[in-house]
Amino acid sequence: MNLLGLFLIPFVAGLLLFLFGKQTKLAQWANLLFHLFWGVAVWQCWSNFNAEQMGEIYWSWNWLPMLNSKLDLGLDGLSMPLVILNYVLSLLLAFYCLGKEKLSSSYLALFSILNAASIGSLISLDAFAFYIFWEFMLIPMYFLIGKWGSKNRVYAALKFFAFTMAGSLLMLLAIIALSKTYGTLSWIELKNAGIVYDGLWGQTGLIFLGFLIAFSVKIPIWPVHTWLPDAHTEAPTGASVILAGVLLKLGVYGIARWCLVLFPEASQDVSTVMMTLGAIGIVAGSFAAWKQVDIKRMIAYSSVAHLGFMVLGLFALNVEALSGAMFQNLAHGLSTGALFLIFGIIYDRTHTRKVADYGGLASKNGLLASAFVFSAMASIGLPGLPGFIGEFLILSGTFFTNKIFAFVGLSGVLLGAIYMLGMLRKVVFGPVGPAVEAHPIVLEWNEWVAIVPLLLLMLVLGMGPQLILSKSMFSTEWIMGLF
Amino acid sequence: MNFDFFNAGVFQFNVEQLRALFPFLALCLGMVFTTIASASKFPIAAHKLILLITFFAFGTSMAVGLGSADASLFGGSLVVDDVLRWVAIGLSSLAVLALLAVYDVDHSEWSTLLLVSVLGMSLLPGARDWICFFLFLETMAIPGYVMAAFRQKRDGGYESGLKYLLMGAFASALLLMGSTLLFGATGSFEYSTISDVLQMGIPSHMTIAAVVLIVVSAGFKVAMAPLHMWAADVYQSAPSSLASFMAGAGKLAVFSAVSVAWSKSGFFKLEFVPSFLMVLGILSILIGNLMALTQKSLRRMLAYSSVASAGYVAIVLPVGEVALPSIFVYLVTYGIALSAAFAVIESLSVKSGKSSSSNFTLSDLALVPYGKAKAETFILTLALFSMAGIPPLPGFLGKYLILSDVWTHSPVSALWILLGSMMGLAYYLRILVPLYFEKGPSNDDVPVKRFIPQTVMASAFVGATGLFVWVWIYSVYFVSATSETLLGTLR
Repeated sequence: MNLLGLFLIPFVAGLLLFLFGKQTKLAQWANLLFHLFWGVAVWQCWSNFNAEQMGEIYWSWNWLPMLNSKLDLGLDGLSMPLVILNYVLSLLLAFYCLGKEKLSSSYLALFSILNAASIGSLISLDAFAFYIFWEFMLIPMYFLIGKWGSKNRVYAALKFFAFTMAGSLLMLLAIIALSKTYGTLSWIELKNAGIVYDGLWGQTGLIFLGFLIAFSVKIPIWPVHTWLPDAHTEAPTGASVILAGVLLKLGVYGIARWCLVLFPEASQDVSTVMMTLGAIGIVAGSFAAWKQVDIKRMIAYSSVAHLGFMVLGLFALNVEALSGAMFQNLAHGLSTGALFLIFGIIYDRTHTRKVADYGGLASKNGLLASAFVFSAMASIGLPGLPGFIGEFLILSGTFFTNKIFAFVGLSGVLLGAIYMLGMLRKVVFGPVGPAVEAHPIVLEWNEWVAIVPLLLLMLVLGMGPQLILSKSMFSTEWIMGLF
Repeated sequence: MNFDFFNAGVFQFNVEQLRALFPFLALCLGMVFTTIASASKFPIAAHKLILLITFFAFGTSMAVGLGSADASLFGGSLVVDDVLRWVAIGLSSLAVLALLAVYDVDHSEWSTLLLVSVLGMSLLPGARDWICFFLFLETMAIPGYVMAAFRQKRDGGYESGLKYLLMGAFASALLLMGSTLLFGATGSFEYSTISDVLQMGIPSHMTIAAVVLIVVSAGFKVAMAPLHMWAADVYQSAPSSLASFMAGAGKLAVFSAVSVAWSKSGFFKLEFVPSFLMVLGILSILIGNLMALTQKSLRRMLAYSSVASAGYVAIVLPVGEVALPSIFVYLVTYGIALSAAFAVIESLSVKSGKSSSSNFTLSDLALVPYGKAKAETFILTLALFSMAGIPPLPGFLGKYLILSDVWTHSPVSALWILLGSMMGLAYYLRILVPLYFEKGPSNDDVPVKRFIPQTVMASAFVGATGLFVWVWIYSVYFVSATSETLLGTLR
């Protein structure tokens, strides 16, 4: 398995893409070519992937011995599905970009570097290396939102940067404390070192909280979610897709990898609190989504609600719920990614996000409307689509732990249907709205190429969840074996 | 202090000692040549060439000496050890960045002054008694006063030079007073003797007064709040290359020297010193960052940000000599980023048609012809992210090392550093907004009237590359090399 290539290829590609300068068209095709190379690396990892192991290191470099840090790279059932998701979304976005003058070579370059950073944090099994990649993600994302976003972009970019940075600085302290106490930052060595738990306000507990807060901001868990609607709304389409599809998922992944595994007792102690916050997130996010008049903002709040489900799944602390959360990660990445992508394509033509300006999309472009409805259904969690599998697993797992949270979660499913269907009624059906009236909504071939595989993937995952669940089953069982 | 200073023996050197002194001879030779060059009215390029060769010789001879035994000179008043050598290497790198960026100075003596200043700076961490410390500090500072006033008639050069001189003289007086009192209390100027005496019992009022005076004088020199008043004016008005050099290299020299001197004199064993430094550090972090947030002039903003950075280092100082690697890495990365940023600001202000960079404000960034300033904006971005401590830029390494040393010492004060870096983020990112996100009407068609020498951008470019490649490797090597030798000697 060539894990180094997995993040070096997009990184080098990013640097090369900067050199294209004003030749946007060439850069866009070159970007596609880079994705091909990257795809070979991803494919190689996927085909050689051994699901029956946890935390095995495939590549290691003792780069900073004085800081107790080694660049350990590994892939297991936790990270593999997200690596695939990241690649798929990025590839489809590469298609989406074709022919769009505004998405210049520096946009593509930053995007590629963002991919390198997110993949890097997924595959590094060393806390220091993980942190470097984790923080590095902020720089390209800051520019993507701030430069290519819509009206309030500067504010949104700054808010995004400040929130995530504030969270991760606490993680930095936690990493320093780990390094000073245990003399190692390697994930597997830390796990084997037997971290002694001395209560939530003891040293270990505070280290745990440092990690937990950083990930909670990234997920984002209510009440630190306020950066997300702004960032999502103002970001350009591609950045919204990656934000929803990869960056938020890294928070869930981080909790599973660093919090649950290294600090099982502490996770148990905070489980009720976190589940409460998750449940509040579901309800508050759903109600907020219901009341939005801005479509992207509505999808963003729906993300808050869906990520509340994943928090429930993470902290219900049983195999069903955890594998549900990891699966829902993928499902939500696909469905919300598709929603942002399709709406982004519509927005490219109409330049308005207000629900009131829309209506009657179905009569204008039936195929696109169907795709939109399909993605919305996946987001609601219709049986046969992956959202259902994830939510079902999470809710049944939660039911074992705490019936009240399961019921709150169930109400979230209902609310999800209400706001999604309400939005569909106003946007897709009904009388033709002014924005839809004024602009022809005809898609280029490359935009279809970006949308269709997403829909197919959702269908495949919804019908055959074993495809992914079988890969992550060992990992989730391994983690739950610690409790 | 050896009072048989002029007796035979003190000035008789063996081969080891001569070898340790050799790099300083290179500096002195450079001074001779630059003086000749000034007297014969050579062009500025000749000065730069002489300086480049000198600093190359100085830096490499120091690097060659790394790892060899410590040489004790002048009856033990000066010790050339690895700490001194590393600081000297760092200083010569910063000096190269500064000299490349020099242009548009009214006086050709800058080259000699720069060399004298570097001589004082690099000797400073080797001092082993307070007399030497004072001498080296003055050798470093006096050329600085002159350089700060180089633009007599422009940009408030006189005012800033005078301010710097008065403040500096005041600080020197405090240091002298402090070391005199210390001599009175302990009967010696030597660090080791003072440390022995201080350890013996409860410190007298005289000792406490002495230590406070010495700490305050150092606070003046590195611009810690509330002793920072001069910094913004000087950084704004001095020629930018020299200002960034005095800010970056001066901090590196003084902080490493102070770390050596105070730990060897046993100051940190006195109970009040760590908390005193902690107060100064927190004040610097808060005042520096808050003032930087309110600034419009970019150079003033960077000046206040360097007040904050002095605060971070002040908090880590009480850890003692073990923290030297972190201080070194932090200040070298900071100095490089600062030099690159100053060079870029100089270039941007010229390209946007301003007469000088002193009053180049945030809103002036809108006047920059971006099509012709791509390299500048990119380098400035790297420098700012490095100063803000975002990985993978090396400023992060400095911040990490400082934090981890502070953590072992007092975990709560680490939170102040975190708070400071959050505040810093706000104004660093604010500079990027007009550069990237809110570009004014394109000025690309307006012809650039004035050009600045390529070397200014070369300095920025070398700085940027340094930030990316060199500093990581170099600092990591330094961290491992020095930690081992230091820990070895401390055990």
